[in-house]
Amino acid sequence: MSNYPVVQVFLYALLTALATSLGALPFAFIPTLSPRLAAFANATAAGLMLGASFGLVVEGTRHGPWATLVGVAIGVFFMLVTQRIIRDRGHEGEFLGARGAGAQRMLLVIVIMTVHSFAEGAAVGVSFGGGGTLAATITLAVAIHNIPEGLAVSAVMRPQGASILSCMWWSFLSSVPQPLAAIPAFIFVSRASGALPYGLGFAAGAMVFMVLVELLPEAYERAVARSVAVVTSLTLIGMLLTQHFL
Amino acid sequence: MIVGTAASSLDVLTLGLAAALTASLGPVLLVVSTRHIKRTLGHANALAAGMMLGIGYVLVTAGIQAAAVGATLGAALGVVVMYWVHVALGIGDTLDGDGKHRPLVAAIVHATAEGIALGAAAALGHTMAVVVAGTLALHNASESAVTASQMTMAPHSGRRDSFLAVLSNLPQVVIGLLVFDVATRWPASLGPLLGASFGAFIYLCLSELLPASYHGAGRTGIAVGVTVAAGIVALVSATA
Repeated sequence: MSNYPVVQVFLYALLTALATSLGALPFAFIPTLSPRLAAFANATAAGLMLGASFGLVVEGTRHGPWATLVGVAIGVFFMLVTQRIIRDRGHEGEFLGARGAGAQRMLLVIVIMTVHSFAEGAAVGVSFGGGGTLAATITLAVAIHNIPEGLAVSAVMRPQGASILSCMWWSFLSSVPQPLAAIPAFIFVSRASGALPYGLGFAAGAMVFMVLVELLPEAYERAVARSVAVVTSLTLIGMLLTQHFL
Repeated sequence: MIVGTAASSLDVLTLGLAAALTASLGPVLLVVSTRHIKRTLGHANALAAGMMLGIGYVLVTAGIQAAAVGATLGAALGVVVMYWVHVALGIGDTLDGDGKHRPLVAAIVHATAEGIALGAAAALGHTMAVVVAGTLALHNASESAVTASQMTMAPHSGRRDSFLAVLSNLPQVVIGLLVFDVATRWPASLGPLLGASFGAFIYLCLSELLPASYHGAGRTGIAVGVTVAAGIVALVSATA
């Protein structure tokens, strides 16, 4: 379980963060992102994340079904508490020079991005406890999933006149917590092998929560539910197949 | 690859009928809970979606174990067929349902997918059949509350809606028996059938149940409801 060097875990997680910057590239060719395309990007990301979560739960239940479920519950609870803290902090006034609702929105976006990335980084780190195949598939899923996230960051920055390089840089920065979270998560499950199903469940719970709270509702707002469903379902199935054969 | 004791056609018939009959409870919930009805229905949809995701997880895990490529192809086919059926019947054109009968048609389509799941699960063994039928029973109660609410643009009648809810769920008994027969005669079909039911479940969950639940209640409550329901179903099946 602890056969993997920490550097490898860091590099895998860094790769997922770097993939986020690829989301800026389409803006070199198109001026803006249509709502329909944004919806499909979100739907694809949702399918990838759900597929990755399935993989984490399958691996977790091999080590302990109850512990995995407890891990899922902790993951969901963690995200709930974070949401609550963000909401409460938003009323306190000033943040980075902005006040009131503007400050709350900015804080919300930054903290959500960080927590979001933290959960994904933890998933990559924990997945090394389940073996190289699981680690590779989860890394791949998170990396591909990050591209639409970079797309979302760039979609806000590009119309304001930001350069492609700047969009790529800020997209990458939004995912920097991933390599930082992956290492402690990996060390934790390596030192305490009994924690592995809890860790796998935690990562799955946090990711499913993000899919249900952020990705899917935003996709439904921009495209017909049928189209969102077909894209998400087929991506999820593709992800399951990839996990099986990788 | 039967797990535990084998199931019989009689098991499929009785379990399927029991699951279909619980659909009658949904409209009762609708009569009892007149306050905050939109929110109640949102949560009912979330629970139904979570159970469908949980059962989907159980089915696809078994399907991949039986035949990975077959199960995946079956899953993709399940998604595509359900999408095509929705487009052809105009299901999901509007969120609230756009007539008295269209929600009923949607419920029949759901019941067909559930029948495939029940039949394929029964081919895996008696325990799996009981787990899937039990989950479908709970799911049907939540689902029929929503279906009834969409049909009540006409004068409301709990008894009539309960009857229609059970009736719309009867295809799952017939399809369940048919699929069970096919899967036991040709074991090679089990993987694709399990995959097909998973694909259909995921698509239905994402195209109908989840959008409707977001429409009725907040994102956070829905996320918690779906995750808890899916987790419990997955745990029950893992420990059964």
